[in-house]
Amino acid sequence: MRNSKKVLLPTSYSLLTKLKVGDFIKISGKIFAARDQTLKRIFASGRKFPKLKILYFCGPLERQGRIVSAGPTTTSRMEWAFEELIKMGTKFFIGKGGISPEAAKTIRGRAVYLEAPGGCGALLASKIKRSRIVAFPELQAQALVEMEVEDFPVVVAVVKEVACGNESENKKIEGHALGRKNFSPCL
Amino acid sequence: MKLSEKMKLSEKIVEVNSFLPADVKFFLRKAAANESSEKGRKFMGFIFENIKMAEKKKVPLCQDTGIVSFYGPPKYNEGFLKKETYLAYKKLRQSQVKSPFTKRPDGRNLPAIHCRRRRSLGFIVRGGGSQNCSALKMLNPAATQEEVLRFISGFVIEKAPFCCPPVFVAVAVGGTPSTVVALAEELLLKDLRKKPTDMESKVLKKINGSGIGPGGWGGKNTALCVKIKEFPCHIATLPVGIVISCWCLRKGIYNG
Repeated sequence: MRNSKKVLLPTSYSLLTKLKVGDFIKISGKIFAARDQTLKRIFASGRKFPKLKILYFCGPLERQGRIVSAGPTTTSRMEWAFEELIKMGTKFFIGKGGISPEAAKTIRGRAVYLEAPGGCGALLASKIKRSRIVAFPELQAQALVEMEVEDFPVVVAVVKEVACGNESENKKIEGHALGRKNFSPCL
Repeated sequence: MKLSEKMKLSEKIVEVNSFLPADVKFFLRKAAANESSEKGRKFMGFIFENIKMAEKKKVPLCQDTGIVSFYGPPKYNEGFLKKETYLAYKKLRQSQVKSPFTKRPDGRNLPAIHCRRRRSLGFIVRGGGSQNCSALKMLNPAATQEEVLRFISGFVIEKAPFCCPPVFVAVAVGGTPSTVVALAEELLLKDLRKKPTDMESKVLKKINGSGIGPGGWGGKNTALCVKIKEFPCHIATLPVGIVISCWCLRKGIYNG
């Protein structure tokens, strides 16, 4: 696809922070799927999960032990956990949908928010090469899952320092976006 | 692919999770063809890649196979619907908890939610993202039609970035607070290609003027279709029920 840079994780972390809002990229590497209750349990357990550098907000669907559908879930529902996750070492959030300006402020300069195409579970599952449950299997769809992805398509939504890539274009969009509290600030 | 008439209800529920109905595809194709924003077009491209993949592999389009709501006559009793739902969700994601307080998974995706009031049995599968973007609003009956429409478009514009746009919008105005949201959801069961009313076109235009676009990535296709239906109501009330479905509207009619 046009403009789609390939990013290999974790070796290209630095490249990722140089990207501009609106850039399409394809990431490859290990990511962790977690969501509402997973995060609650992670915080409550007091355990250290040092490897949660890339968090994918997702509750995958399995058939016969294989993930067959795994699209992103609504990121704004996880905003409450951003601060703590960043303190724990999360550098990248992958999800779908807008986030509040406050949440964008929490992220900016400390982490990157990437949006995956919402509702495209079948397509995104095909980019997962391997997966395993790391913790909380009793939560079923909300278990903590490690996924090895290849060419997983995302668009950069909130990035380090740079609020918007193309100032004039984004100002136009931002004009209507930031006026409403719930819109993702730059896309 | 046409859904077989002889299929069991449980099979049909599984099936609609992989194959979108013709009217939904019609609107998606239209949006893909007329979308002017580059990012919006890209999102539409992902949608069609996903549809192709789901059909080919017979896997659910979206991992959130949601909760199924039935609309139909009493002859399809609670026991039947529960059994079929249970069987269907063995192949779909368990997305239900026993209690909103304990959050323990239910493991069966039951009970099936059943609202009577139709001649044939129809069902809609909606995920959490879409369910979260619903509204029940008791407006002042002094509100003009203009004001009601403004409330509708305002609400959809506020919520659309979270429920996988381009979205389908169904609105019931009237009835009672306990029924109006179900009345709205049921509107989605119809073939949505019917010519829109002036009211519907106006709201659609307003929503699409927001620029949110496919996936919230910018563009003119924020909503694909708006359905508004009036129902009689009490002189002192003006209930409005709004239901938003993501682009991946999964629904079916069962004649068995």
